[in-house]
Amino acid sequence: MAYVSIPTYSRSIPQRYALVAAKCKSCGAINLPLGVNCLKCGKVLEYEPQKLSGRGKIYCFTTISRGGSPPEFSAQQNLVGSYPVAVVELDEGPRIVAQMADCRAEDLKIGLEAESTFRRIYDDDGVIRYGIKFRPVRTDQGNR
Amino acid sequence: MQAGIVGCGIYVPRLRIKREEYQRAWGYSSRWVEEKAVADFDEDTVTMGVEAASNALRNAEVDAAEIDALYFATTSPPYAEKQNAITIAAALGCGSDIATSDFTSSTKSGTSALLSCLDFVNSGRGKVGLAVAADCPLSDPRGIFEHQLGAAAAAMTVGTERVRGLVEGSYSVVSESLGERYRRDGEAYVTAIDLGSYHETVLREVVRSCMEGVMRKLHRSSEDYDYLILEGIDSGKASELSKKLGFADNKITPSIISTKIGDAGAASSLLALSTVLETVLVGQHVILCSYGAGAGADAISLAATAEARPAPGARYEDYLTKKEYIDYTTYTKLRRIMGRR
Amino acid sequence: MAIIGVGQTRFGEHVNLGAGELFASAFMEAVADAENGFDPRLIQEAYVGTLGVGGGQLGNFSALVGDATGLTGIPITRVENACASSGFAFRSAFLAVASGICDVALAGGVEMMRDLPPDRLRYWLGVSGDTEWERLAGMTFAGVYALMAQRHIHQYGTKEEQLHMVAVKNHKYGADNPKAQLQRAITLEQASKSAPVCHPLRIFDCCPTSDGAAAAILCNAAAAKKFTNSPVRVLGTGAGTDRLALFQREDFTTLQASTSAAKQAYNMAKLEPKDISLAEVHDCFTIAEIMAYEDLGFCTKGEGGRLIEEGQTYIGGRIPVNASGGLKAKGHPIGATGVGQIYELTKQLRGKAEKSTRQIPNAKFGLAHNVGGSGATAVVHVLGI
Repeated sequence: MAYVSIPTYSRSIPQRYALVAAKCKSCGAINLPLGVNCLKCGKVLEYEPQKLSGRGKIYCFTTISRGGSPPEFSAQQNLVGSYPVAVVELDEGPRIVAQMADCRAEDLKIGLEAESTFRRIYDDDGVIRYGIKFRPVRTDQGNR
Repeated sequence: MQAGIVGCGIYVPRLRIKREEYQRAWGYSSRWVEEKAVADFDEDTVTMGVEAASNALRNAEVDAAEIDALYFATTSPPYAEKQNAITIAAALGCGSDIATSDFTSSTKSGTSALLSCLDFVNSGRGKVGLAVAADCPLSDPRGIFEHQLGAAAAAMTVGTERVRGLVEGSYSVVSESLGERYRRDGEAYVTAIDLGSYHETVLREVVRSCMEGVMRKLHRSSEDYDYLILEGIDSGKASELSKKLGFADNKITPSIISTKIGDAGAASSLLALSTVLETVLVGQHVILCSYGAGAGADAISLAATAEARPAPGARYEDYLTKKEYIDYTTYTKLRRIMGRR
Repeated sequence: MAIIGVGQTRFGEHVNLGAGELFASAFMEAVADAENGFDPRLIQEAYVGTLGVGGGQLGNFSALVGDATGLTGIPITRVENACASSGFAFRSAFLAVASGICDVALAGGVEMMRDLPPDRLRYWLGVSGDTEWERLAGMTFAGVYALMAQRHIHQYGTKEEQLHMVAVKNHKYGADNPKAQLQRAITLEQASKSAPVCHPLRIFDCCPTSDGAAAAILCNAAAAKKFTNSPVRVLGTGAGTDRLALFQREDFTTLQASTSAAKQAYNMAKLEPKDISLAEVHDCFTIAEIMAYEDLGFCTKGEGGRLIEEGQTYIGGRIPVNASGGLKAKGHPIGATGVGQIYELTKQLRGKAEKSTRQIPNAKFGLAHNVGGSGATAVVHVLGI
């Protein structure tokens, strides 16, 4: 069964919880998640950690309809039905994929400003898997 | 140098439910709650705590890496065993050599966490602390008590530099008051036995002696204060109590929790304090008393020494207007009352 | 090197058969297809593609294939590259014969998908994307292609309707393919109004889940005439990879693995896109076919929507695509699809398309395009008669 083990999940907690990215020492590109090689220059990734702002723009999005989700999200779908997911292009460069919170798919569009929020993603092995989702930035609220 | 509040932050979940929904579902409803906040399916006290704490760090202009202690208070922790404060610390990006603790089992644990945080800094153990309180208590849906249980979080950055709210002193009173509000190990629902005047008397006594205690310690009287905060006590009792202590009605912070957010358990007092600190003027004084059934009370006296205006989007008013209403059926699904795990 | 025989089960539902039996039936058909007579004991290497959906026999699947086909004893290798498994199995067989290590090799694929309860099936449908980051975000296979579709629409003005036109074409041909899972034509209106899956993709934009198997026997060209009067030559093979997770790719509207695989195959075959008589491309979702038109060089980037709207990929058009019904209507038993495409091309190039209404006249060169997951792997073959 496809599965994210506790050690695999845990070693990326700074990325999952706090958007701590890796700034490549060779070319300066911001990498998130961390890979063996820099996504930009391809060199083995030696880096400075950099906590990202959590701000970005929606690059693309869709809705996972009821009945379609990976089974880790069955409980969620049974409760709330379909949910939106998006690829968000962060201000610092990298794109990441995450669920969208506090909104409906109808509220979304390519280019919409979004900000990160810490949420429960799912449960597995009896352990709560927390992580980042994004929510639309309200234009009447000003900048964070 | 005395420690004080350097910044504060709050969080109220976006979802709300109106009293009318309860009335429609049950044919009766609590008169204390016009509407209240509801944690979404992917929120819990840890995620709410992270939001409030992020706001508190921003308000204090303190980076997470500077935090030396993080204390988390709640009566509804996601884990009964496995410290929750650490998850919040990791989500904020704190260092790994910090002191942490969870403060649970009582609605006064929020103020207890704040006081311990102040002690931590005052003792010289560290320079900056973060006290985070969040709650979304759950009770039997058939009881009117459940109607008023809401959800919210508040956090205070504590330090000795750039202090906005200097903590002049505190006083604590304990009370082994049984059956008032409790949740046995392994139970999901908090129970409140309504013993009427018996519990009311205990509450009055505890809060009165706690308030008098702190004022006595500081040689103060009710006239010295501009704001009185009594959350976790219904507004009728609060008004009566404060009159007895000599506070004019206009000093009492209206019970925000009771009408718009619901009972936010351990977060109630700190949430009310945050809202007062949003508008307090330099030189003004604030007195707060929290109450925990079967625990006691903490009273805290503060002097405003600098302004601490939250950023746009992070004010209490902003959270009140950032909302979406849900119906009772959705509420029961989100609260895991229908289809409990 | 040439293909001497091909076989394929009907794609669809075979819940009364096991994977081994299903593959054996395609294998035996391939053996019989070499009309001059072929002794299966001549097969020296076998490569069988399967994802292993359901987990019935994850380890040593090759041995199960050996048991079922009577090939036990020879080297058999299970090849897995998600939905491109049997395309890569075919490539492996080609490389084995080309290397000289053997003269005759078997390539095939099999998948059983329809015998699982819904939760289990959903596990398996998600295994070919990035598990750690995409899956953990709640993303699905359809979701990833939906994102590609949205970007293609945004960047090139492709219309949602054009996506549905692909489905209409492929269902039209599936209706005339006795080996297809879905043998019912649909209208554009039906497709446009069908239930949404992941916006902008609707039910008819998505291929079904299927049981099925396919097999092809290759040998060096010199020996081929012994076994069949119409060997189909394998003129070119190409393959490539891309970042596993869609969000780590630069451009969501193209599959670099497809582009690079196609280039290699064309170069080896010394052919250009315009020389191709027909193509079987990987339309797991309708957007994938539109992107394939561009990646395989049948039109320029961004023009894929126009190509289908103009009817150029119908039989009789400039470049008939998926005359079999494609994955959309013919079905998509993950491990079998790649060699299923080889099956269709072989039949067409021999002039033996099942149901003559689907026969491309004067078919000379065919192209098979097989993609794994959301494009992390891709393999292209060019065949000729």
